[in-house]
Formats: sequence, structure tokens, C-alpha cells
Amino acid sequence: MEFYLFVLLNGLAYAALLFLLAAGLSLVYGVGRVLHLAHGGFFMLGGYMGYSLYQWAGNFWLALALAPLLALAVGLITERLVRIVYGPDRALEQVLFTFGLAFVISDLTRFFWGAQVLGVPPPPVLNRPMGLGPVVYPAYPLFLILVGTVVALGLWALMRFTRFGLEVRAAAGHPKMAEALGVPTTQVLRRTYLLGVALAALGGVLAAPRLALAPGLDFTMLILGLIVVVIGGLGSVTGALYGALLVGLADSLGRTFLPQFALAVIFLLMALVLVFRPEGLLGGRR
Amino acid sequence: MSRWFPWLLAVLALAPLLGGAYALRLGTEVVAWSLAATALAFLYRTTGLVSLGHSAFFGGGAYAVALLVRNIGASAYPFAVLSAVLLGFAFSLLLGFLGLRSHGIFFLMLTLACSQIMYILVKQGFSGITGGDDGLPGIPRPPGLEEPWAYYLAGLALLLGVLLLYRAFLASPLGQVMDALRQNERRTEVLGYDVRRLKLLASGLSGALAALGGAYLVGYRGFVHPHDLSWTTSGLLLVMAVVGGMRPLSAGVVGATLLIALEAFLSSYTDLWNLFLGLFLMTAAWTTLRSRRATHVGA
Repeated sequence: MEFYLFVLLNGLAYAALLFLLAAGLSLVYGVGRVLHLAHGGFFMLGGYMGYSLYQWAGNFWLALALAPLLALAVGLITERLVRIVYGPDRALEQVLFTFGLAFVISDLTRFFWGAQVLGVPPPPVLNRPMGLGPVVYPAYPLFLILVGTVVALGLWALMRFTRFGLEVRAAAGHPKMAEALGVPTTQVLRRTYLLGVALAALGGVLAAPRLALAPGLDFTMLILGLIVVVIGGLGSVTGALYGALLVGLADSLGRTFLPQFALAVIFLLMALVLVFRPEGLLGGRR
Repeated sequence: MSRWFPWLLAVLALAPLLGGAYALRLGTEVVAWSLAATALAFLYRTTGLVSLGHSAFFGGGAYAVALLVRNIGASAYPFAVLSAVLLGFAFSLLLGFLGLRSHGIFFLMLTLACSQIMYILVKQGFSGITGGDDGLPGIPRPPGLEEPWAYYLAGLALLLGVLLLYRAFLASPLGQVMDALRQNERRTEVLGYDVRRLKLLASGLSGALAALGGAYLVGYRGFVHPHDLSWTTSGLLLVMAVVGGMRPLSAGVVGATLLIALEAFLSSYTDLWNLFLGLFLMTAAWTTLRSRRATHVGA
């Protein structure tokens, strides 16, 4: 029983990271119909920036606060670039462009930070085990679950109660109609993109103490993010949340029982969803 | 085929034979990558689908041949190549079956995810069989083609055969329907064609051709490496097809020739090859968009 609680908590902690990544991927696609394949790059970039800030300041919290802002600055530049390929019926160009951007980010991070494996220790407050009823569990993953929950609730409130959220939902539901009614869809898309990038970078910093920072992390994460949005359905935050939970738990179970084939378990999950719900679990309704 | 294209093939045929061992090596690589890039261009030409994971078929074909030849011996080559091609076909069909049920963007994501999973399975999952990170060395050439120039000429003949078949396919009634499919999917469907089956067929053929390219590469190089399955390989194949212009028959060959030459040139100066590859992809996207805008204005 306690064993399964461990598996569950590991899965939830992983799901929190996946959600931070996939929420932006899903939102950017929903609003702009752009599949942002450089999203994994921003996750990794966030992690590396967090590493450097930690080395510089010696404080995890500072790194956690500043790295997403730095990534946001990079996002401002790439947004100007990606803007070239916004628009309907440009799937090929968008894929080429963002895939290319992913290559550029991947090689530039290798150039600046080298190819060796880097790591960041968890902050001292969280670097200890915590008693949790019958079991003792490390505090840091619990912190990840907390952050994931807070971000999920925050995004839900943002989408539900603010003008920005209303505009995002309008632009995702029917771009032309939204524009005709005076919603500045391009501007909404720009803000959504920046929000997504910042969330991915936040995920990257949070992941730094859990996952090893090394070349290839960006594409591993991108693939996981894509699987999450395929399972959950593209374009909705809720879909990303459900997808992240399923993938996180499947990964945790897979790692426990079939250590080398965890990814194959996830892939099987995706294949099943594609066979029975081709648009994803929440794809039909936004 | 445009008028100058046979001349490019002639140059491809002669230059390595006159240019020494290094040119011969590059020429053989051009042939292998041409086959796989043509597969990608074929898929786009016939269905409008873009695959981000053709390394799964390219590297998968290479691994299939490597495993069979290493375990049975060089005499198993015809069997090994045939199984690689059939596996590529079957696997691509399965992927199409899963990915073509809904919007085209799902196919894209599925191809990328699938190739990455193949990569990880080969690298870590089955490292006992596949050699893991080190790959599999010591694969002999097919009997009768041990000499590099003989192997190169055989590959060139293979490439020419594939291109002629491709041309015949495009001219056939089926090819015409596929052309219509790319231009307007809905209209083709309304005309009574089973669009999904056409897409599946094209996807299967493309996977088979990419596997053939991988099989040819491994026979020459003598080893396989997980890198053949990685996303870098998929990206390179995509750049090749795009640089060649995607739609023309010559797209794969032109793109592969340019990119292999460029890689050989650049890699003596810098190891940031992926950076350049990424910049190429972005420029290619930008120029396709511009040229499309230009045609829209003209029409």
C-alpha cells in the first residue's frame, strides 16, 4: 500500500512538470494553430538558466524567480520570429520554422553550457524527508505537486474570470468571429505565447533538481509534451492537465515495473487514446 | 523530370569515380540520403503530409539489415533488404493507421513521438540486442559489391530505378488521384475516392523507401548507430526534401546532394552543425511562405 503511495506521488510530481510544459504548448496551438516545436527548448533553457543563476547567486529561490523572466526575454525575440509564420493553412511552414528554432536553441545551449550533465540541488528547506502519515517522502516532489496545483488553479481562474482568458477562449473557439467582434487575436496570441514560454521555463527550473540537465533534454520533454497534448486534446488547459496526470502516472508505473520501457508504456497509452478517441480525451469540446 | 536533372545524375555518377576515395564516400552517402529524402518528398507530393519522424524508417531499415546480416551472414543480404523494406512499409502503415484518424497535425506529432521512442528503445530498451549507445559494428558488404565503386554504382542504379518508378507512379491513374488529393482533399473525397486509404498507401510506400535508403547506407558504412534514429536525422531529411523543393521528382536528390556537400564543408570548420541545420529550416520556411504569397498575388 505504502509502495503504491510512493508510485502515485512520483507520478504526480512528474505530472506537475509535464503540465507546466504542455499547458503552453496546448494554449499556443489553441489560439494560433501553431504547433510550437521549440517548446521543449524553452523548458531546457529555463533549466540551464536556473543552473547559472544558482551558481551565480547561490540561492534556488532567486533562480526560480529570475529564470522564467530571462526565458521571457528570449521568448520576446523568438515571438517576433515565429510571427512570420502565423496564420491559417501554413502547417508545413510552421512546423519547419519551429522545428528549426528547436535545433538552434538546442545547439546554442550546448555551445554555452557544454555537453556535460549538470544538476542543481533542491533548496535546503525542501532537501529533507517529510513524514506523510504512514510514509516518509522527500519534500521537494511534494513542493512540485503544490506548484503544479497552484499553477493549474491559477490558469483556470485566468481563463475563467479575466478579460484575457475570455479573449483566449474566443480566439481559440472561432478566430475570425472573435476578430470581427473586436478581439485583437494577434495580440492575444503574442501574450499566450509569452505565457507558455514562461511556464515552460518555470517547469525547467523546477525540473533541474529532479532531472539531469544534459543535451537532448529538450527533445525528450518536447515528445512528452506532445504526447500529453495528443492524449488530452489540443487547445485546452484542462486537456493538458488530464493528459499530464495520465502520462505522469503511466510513467511512474512504467518506471517501477518495467524500468527500461517506461516510454513504451506511455506510447501504448497514446496509441490507445488515438484508436478510441482520435481527437484526444477532451478534443471534441473546448 | 526537368531537363537538367539527368545531367546532375551524370555528374553524380562520374565525379566520385574520378575524384578518389573521399568523393566516392560522399557520393555513396548522397545516394543513401537521396533515397530517404525522396521518400519524404514523395509523401508530401502525394498527400500533403509532412513527417517529422522519418529517421524511424531510415534508421530502422539500417538496424534491420544490420541485425539480420550480422546474425546470418553476408549471403542474407537480399533477404535482409527485403525484410527491411517490408518492415518499413508495415510500420509506416501502422503509424498511418493511428495518426490519420483525425487532423493532420496528429500525424506530425505521432511521427515525431514514434521515432523518438524507437530511438530510446534501441539506445536503452533493447541494448543487449542493438548494441545500445555503441551501435553495431562489423557489417560486411553484400557479396559481389565489396569494392566501393561497385557498391556506389549499384546504388546509383537503384536510385535511378526508384526515380523512374516514381515518375511512372505519378503518371499512372493512381498517381493522378494522389496529386488531386494533395491539391484538394475534400474535393477528392467528394469525387468518391477513399482518401484515408490513399494516404495510408502513400505513407506505407514512403516508409518502405526510407528503409531502403537506410539499408543501403548500412551496407556501405559497415556499422549502425542510434544517431541514425535520432531527431537530427529526421530534421536533416526534412531539410533535404524542402531545399529540393518538396514537389519535384528531383527534390530528394537535389536536397541530399546540396546538404551532404554543405555538411562536409562546414563540419571542417565548426561542430555547430545543428545550428546551421536549424537556420536552414527556418529560412526554408520563410522562403516557401514568401514564394506562396507571391503566387497568390499573381493568381
